[in-house]
Amino acid sequence: MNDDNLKMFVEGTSHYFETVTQKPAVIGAPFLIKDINKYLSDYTGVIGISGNYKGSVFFTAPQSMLRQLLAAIGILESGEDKMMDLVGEVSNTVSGNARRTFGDQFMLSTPIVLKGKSDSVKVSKVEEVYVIPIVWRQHQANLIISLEE
Amino acid sequence: MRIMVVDDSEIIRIKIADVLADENFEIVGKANNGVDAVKQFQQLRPEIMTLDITMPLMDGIETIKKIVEIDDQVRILVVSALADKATLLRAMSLGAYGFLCKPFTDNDLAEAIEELIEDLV
Repeated sequence: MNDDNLKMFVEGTSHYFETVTQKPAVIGAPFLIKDINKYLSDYTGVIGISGNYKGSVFFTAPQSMLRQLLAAIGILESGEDKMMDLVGEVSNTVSGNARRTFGDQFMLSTPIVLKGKSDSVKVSKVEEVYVIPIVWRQHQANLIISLEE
Repeated sequence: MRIMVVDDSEIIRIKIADVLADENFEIVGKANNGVDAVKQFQQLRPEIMTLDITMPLMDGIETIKKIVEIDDQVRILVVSALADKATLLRAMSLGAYGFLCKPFTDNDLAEAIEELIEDLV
C-alpha cells in the first residue's frame, strides 16, 4: 500500500460520513499495526478482497456510534441486526468506492460481520496492516486495511 | 409509478423506500438478493427497479440480464458502491438505465429517479 492508496481510503471514509450524515468525521493519519485484534470494536464489517489485490478491509465501531449513525441516516430502530447491517454496508461502500482507483479487478466479497472484540482474527500473509482512525461525534471507530498486490 | 427495491442491506432498502415513498412512488416489493428479485419481479412487474450489484446468491449484473429477458422496458437504476467505469458500462450495456454511486444523499436518489423516468412522465 502506498501513500496515495491510503489517502484514497482516508478520503473515501470522509466522503461516506459527510454524504450520509452531513456531519463530517475527523479522519486521522493511517498508522501501521501488528495485532489487529487490539483495534476491533463492538461490531466489525469485513470485506474480503481478491483479484489484483488480496486481503481485507474492516470497518469497526462501537454501539454508541452505530446508534447515532443509524439515526442520522433516518433509521429509527437501532437493534443489533441494524448495527451489524450498518458496519457491513460501511465496509462495502468504502471498499467499493476504492475500485475508482484500483479498477474492476479489485474484487469484493459480500460483507462478513463480527460481533464483539476478538483475539482470533488473523491477517497472516499480509505484511502491512494499517489503521485509519475515525472520530465522529466524539465516537471512535477504525477502518483497517490489510491489502497486498 | 411502481418500484421494487433490491439491496442486500436492509438499511439501504428502508432508506431508498422511504425517500421514494416521500416522492409519491409506490413501493411494491423489496428483495435482498438477485434470485429473490427475479422471482418477485415476475409476479409484481414494477416499472422501476433500484438494484445493488454486490449481493449474495446472484449479483446485480446477472440480475439485470434475467430481468431484461423478462421485460426490456423496465427502468433499472443501479445503486452500488462499485465506483469503477467498467462496472457502470457493463450494467448500462446490459440494460440498466441509470447508475447512482453509494454513498448518496436523499436528493441524489430523488434526482437519479427523476432522470430515469423523465421521458415517461
